[in-house]
Amino acid sequence: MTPDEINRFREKMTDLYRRANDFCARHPEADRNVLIQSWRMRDQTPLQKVEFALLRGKTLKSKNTGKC
Amino acid sequence: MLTEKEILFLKELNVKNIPFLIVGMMAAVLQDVPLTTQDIDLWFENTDDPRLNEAAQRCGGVFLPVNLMFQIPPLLGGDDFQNLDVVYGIQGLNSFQDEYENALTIELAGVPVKVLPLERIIASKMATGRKKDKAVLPLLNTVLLDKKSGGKDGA
Repeated sequence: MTPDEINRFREKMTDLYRRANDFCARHPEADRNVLIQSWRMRDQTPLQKVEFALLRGKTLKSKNTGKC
Repeated sequence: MLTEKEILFLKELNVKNIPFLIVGMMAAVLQDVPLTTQDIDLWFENTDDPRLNEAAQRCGGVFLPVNLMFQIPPLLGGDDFQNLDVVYGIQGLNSFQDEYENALTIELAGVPVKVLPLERIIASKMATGRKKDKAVLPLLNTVLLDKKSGGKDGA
């Protein structure tokens, strides 16, 4: 990875964790690791969608395959 | 499962003599527990070891140490680093050194790796106590009992 790519990765992850921390502060029942895994695996899924699904207690579905 | 760069990274850890343990569900899968999982959880003795980033960069990735300000655990990054996770703080286990001394050596993608034994995975999952951990405990215990009795079912 180039230094620019490393910086972008660092910034992306900082933003991701900051938003996940904010979410978990509002929803103590949420598992931050699961939230972040969902985010990373689903590649850019808006956090609001994750939040919406968690609040409704639904299993998240992959955008690409439709499989759980 | 693992990308070529991830396999290379595991080899680099061995070359650099950086101690690590595979924990979590992949550790169980490697001990014949019939489950599927994608991530491989790596537990390092010292995530501040600069050789970790050297090893990652040699394989085209990056290793970021813990960021206390944003509560970010150590991370492995890079386009081809999608399956390896770094765990930070594991409940229900002894010190890294204690667990490492009693770990099993198993080949993963042709690379010998140290793996947390099933008994210790169970101890960790019991201590964590999350729903998803509790859910797999019966299966983990069944496989453990089967192994102790000689594994007639070939689990």
